[in-house]
Amino acid sequence: MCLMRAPLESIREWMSGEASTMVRFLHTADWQLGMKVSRVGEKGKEVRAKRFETLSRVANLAVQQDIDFVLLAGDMFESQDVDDVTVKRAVDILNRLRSVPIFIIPGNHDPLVPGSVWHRHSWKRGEDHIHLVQEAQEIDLDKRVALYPCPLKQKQSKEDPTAWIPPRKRGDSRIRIGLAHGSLDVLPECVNFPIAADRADLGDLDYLALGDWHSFFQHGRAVYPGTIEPTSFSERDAGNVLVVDIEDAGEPPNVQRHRVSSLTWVELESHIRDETDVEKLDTEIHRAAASISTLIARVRISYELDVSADTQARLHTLRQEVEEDAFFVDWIEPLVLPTSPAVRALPEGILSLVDGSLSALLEGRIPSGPGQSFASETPQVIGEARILLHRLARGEGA
Amino acid sequence: MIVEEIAVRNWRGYRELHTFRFAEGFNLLVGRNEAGKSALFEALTRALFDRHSGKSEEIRRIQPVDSSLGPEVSVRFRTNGQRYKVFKRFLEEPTARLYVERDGRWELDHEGDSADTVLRELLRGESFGRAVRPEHRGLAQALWYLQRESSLPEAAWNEAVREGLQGLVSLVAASPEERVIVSRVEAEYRQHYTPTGRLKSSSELATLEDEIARTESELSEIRSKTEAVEKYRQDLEELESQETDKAQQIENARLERTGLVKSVEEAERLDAEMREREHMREVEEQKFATLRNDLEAIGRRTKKTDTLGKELEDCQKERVQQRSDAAEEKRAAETYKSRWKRELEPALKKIEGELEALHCLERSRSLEDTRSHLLRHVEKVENAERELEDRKKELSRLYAPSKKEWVRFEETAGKYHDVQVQAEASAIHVGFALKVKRARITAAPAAQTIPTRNEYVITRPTTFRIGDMGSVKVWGGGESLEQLNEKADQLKTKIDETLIRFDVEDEEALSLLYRNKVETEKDVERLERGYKKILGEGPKDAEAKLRQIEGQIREEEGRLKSLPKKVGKWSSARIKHRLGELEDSKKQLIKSIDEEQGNEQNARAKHEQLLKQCGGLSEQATEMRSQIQSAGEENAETLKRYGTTEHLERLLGGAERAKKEAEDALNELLRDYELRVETPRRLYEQAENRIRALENQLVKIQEQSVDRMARIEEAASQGFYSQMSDLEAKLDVKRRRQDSLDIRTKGVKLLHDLVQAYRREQSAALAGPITDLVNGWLQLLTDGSYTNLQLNESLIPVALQGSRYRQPLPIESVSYGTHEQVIVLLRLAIGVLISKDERNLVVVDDRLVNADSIRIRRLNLILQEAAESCQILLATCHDTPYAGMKANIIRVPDDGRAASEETIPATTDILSAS
Repeated sequence: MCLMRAPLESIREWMSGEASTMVRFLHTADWQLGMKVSRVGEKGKEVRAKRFETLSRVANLAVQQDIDFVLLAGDMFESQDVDDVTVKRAVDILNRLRSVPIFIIPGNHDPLVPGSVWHRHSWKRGEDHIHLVQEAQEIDLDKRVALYPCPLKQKQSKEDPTAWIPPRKRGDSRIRIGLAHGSLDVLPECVNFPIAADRADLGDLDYLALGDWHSFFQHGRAVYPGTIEPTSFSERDAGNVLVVDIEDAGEPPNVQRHRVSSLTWVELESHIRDETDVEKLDTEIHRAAASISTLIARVRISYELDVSADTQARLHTLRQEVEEDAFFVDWIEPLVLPTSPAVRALPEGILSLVDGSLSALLEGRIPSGPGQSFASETPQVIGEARILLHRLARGEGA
Repeated sequence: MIVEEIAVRNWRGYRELHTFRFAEGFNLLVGRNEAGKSALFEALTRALFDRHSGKSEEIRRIQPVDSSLGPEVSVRFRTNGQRYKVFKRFLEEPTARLYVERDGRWELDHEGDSADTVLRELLRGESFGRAVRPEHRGLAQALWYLQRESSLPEAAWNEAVREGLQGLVSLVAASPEERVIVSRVEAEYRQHYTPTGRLKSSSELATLEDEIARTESELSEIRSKTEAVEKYRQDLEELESQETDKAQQIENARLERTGLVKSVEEAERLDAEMREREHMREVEEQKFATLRNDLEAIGRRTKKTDTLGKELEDCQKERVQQRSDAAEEKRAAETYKSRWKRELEPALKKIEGELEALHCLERSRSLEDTRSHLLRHVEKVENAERELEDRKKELSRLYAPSKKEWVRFEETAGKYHDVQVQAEASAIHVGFALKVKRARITAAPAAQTIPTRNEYVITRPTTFRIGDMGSVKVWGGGESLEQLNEKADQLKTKIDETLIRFDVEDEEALSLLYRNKVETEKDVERLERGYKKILGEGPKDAEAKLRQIEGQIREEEGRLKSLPKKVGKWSSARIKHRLGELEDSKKQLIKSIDEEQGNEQNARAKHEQLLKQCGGLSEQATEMRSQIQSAGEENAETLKRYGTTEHLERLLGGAERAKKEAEDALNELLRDYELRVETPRRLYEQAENRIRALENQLVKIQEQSVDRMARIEEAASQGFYSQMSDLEAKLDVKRRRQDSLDIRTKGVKLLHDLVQAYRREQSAALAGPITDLVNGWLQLLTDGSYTNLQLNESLIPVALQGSRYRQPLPIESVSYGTHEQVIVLLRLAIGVLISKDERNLVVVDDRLVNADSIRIRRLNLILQEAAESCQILLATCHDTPYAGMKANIIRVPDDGRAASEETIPATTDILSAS
């Protein structure tokens, strides 16, 4: 790896060999390698491994698309503490792109600080086409392209890391590309490393390659590719890298999205009344991903307690099927209270009194009799007790 | 349910059929102890609740002693507005039949096990295992207070009792369905909680909580390691800051050093100039020193030449004197030599010649003496030898017995004499006393006679011829006398042979011969010893010695020929005297010669010494002359460079001035040396040292940075981040499961607790009417000592509130009698309360024996009141306390015979009897 502090002569030589003025590069960010994955249970390790499969696809794509260089806009790693094996595997994959220069800037997850992940011995395996940019200064790639990298050297800041980018000098006809990690101030929760939304205009940049936002987002010439592999259910358009063509300085960039992610994260909700609803849910689940084996799903079910036994059986089967086939499923069935008059009546006596008390407690009323001593119980516990009562009454197990 | 009639046969004491009929109200069963009251209640219980096919040991004990007939019981009862009749036979041909009265006729409704089951359900009994217990008897558990059974249930009244009581408070009786559901709730609760309400340690939730605690501990451990890494990273930041500072300090120090370079270069130039001036000074000093040394050397050498010239002169004079002394000494030595050589040595030779002659004469005379002595010795030896040879020849000629032969001879002679004496002692004496005169008596063989006695001694058979008269043959002594004579003859023969051999007459001659030989041998030995002694007295080779002496004598005689004859005749004394004189003269002469020779040697030594001294003086003189010459030459050589001494002296003055000038020039430079040379250099060195120190500090900081980075690398290589990630995921799964289980178990507990709460409320509602009734009776019975009975939620008495006590008294604390009476009141109250719609049977089996007469009277009132609502069957030994009560009195037969009922033949079915 080359710790880039100044422009590299070798890159200029390589770039100058190109006859065309058009520049094509691959823009990616937020690999978050070594990321801890919550809410997928024991599958966390596999999810981490999948990220490397995705990285291999990114490498293949870079070769296929005949790009001039790769821009990695920060957060290559989830943390400074990631295992050595993670760094080594990443370096090995980057080494496969030895014909393509790669410019990497440290992000807020992996800022360039003493003892950082960038100082690991594993980087000594990296070849010369890998450039970790350490200083915010212009890199003159050749007569055609000037790169303005904005490496981060701390985890948090309210400073705009792109503020240093100078305006275009008179007579400068090069394509100007910014490379930064932070939050465009048009995004929600823009607190850490805020970036002016009009930075591309202010800096007369032809393209501002950004990282930090995990979903694809384009604001004029400022673009987030999103993470290569989704990290949560809340990310709506993640799992892409961008191949960008710029014909000439001042020309609008042509941004092509390429899906590379291995896994699809989907959150589904379904209210079950009958078997038709189950069928709909089935279809929805199977359409959510190209293959259900790559699906990470959170399924929230709500249904009437008095749904037919067949419907319940069908839903149960679907759940078993999805739990077996999907990469991971978080199947949530919140307690739904028996409200239908079709609920089987409990025998008269203590049990009907108990049921009445539980029902009153769930409705927020304090029942008369012994039930009033249990008014402080949480609705979940009360609901669970009532569900249990009815299940036991039906002769079902707990 | 009330009982109308009980009939028994082959039942313990009741061998025959006995029938007992009961009224709807108060029935008093009277009988002494062991009469069969309890047996009757047993028959009632087994008829209604037991399996007819039971063959347990308890049932076998029912069978009368020595009877093989099956115990039989028949009960007629009424319940739910219907009359029933049950017949059961146990053990032998077990039978169960249930009859129902329909339209005034008994119809067999069920038989066998079916009869058992239907009857049990009819009376709300419960199924049981091996043997029926009070809790299986439905309402009877509360209403029947029998002997050998505990006064109260262990936990709670059975379902039938509670149902019966529930009816009182208008609550819906628990349906079987509810019971099932509640039991499921209980089962579910028991899966998660202990009876004391604690979460079971084996439950999934408890296990999960343990696992979570363990996982959190692991996670905490790894987090502490990652925190250490973060600390290393902070160290690195600090170290980087320090490194930057140090680098800046080094840069500043280097700039400072650079600023000192010009001053140091000027110092170097000045230093070089100083060295040049020092060199100049040294050159001038050297020139000056050379000139001064040369001048001083010339002076020294001139002075030395003068001294040496005087010393040379003195030396030559001394040498002449010493040569003269040497010649004088040489002459004196020759004089001494002449004297001892010409005078003294000849005189000495003459004296020595005379001494030799006299000594020769002395030796000659001594040799003569020795020869004479030797000649005498040789003669003595020859004489002794000759005498010895003569005696040896004499011994060799003497033929005599040897010592051995002589000893043997003496032994033989001795034995011979002994045998002879023995023979004589054994001889026979024959005496003749004849009247015939001159009758000649002859003996053949001849016999020894003892004439004086005219006796014969015979030692062998002898024939005596007495004249013409004839002969007398005498024999005697036997064989031994003959053997002795024979042995004596043999010995005599040997003796004679020895005497003949040595040619002697008798034993004495032989003895003489032997002693002669012995003496001769002794002489030979003595002579040999004398001969050897003589030989030992002289030299071994006396003859050779003699010849040698004679040779020497001849030699000495040759030497003595020159001696005057008269001297040869001198006596030894004179010779000795003369020898003494000559020896003295000789010693005197030798002394004189030694003295003269010593004088000669001294003179010669002095001569030699003087000659050596002369040589030494000559050498000294030569050396001095050489030195004088050399000094002159050296001075001449030195002055070749300078010409004259005066010129040299002038040159020395010039050199001294030049030296002074060079020293002044150097001192002028040294005055500013500290300021212009040493100070810049010191400052430069200080700057250098500071840079080195800073560089060392920088190296240490860098080493620390390397160390921290290595630690970070080491931590990263151990995969803590992934482990933490995996553990967090694992923990998340467990916590979610824990949340889910927590809600579920809490739900189970809530449901259980709520059900329990309602049951407690229900129990409390049931307890009210019971305690109301009991409390009224209790106050009546105890005359207000106890006012309230407290029941727990299971309607089990727990305490009594008395007027004498502030606190309720635990039921176990009251007296046994009161306790029994309270239990009777409780059962009566339950009986009264559940008999609102239909009478129920209350049994009290001899439980009021511990009541005093007052309480019995009060109990009578209570029993009378209760009997208004229910059927009461009270067993007692004595009916007196109950006299006056309106009661149906049934007397149990003392001997197993019915007191008031007819007897039915054993073969008749007891049902037909009733």
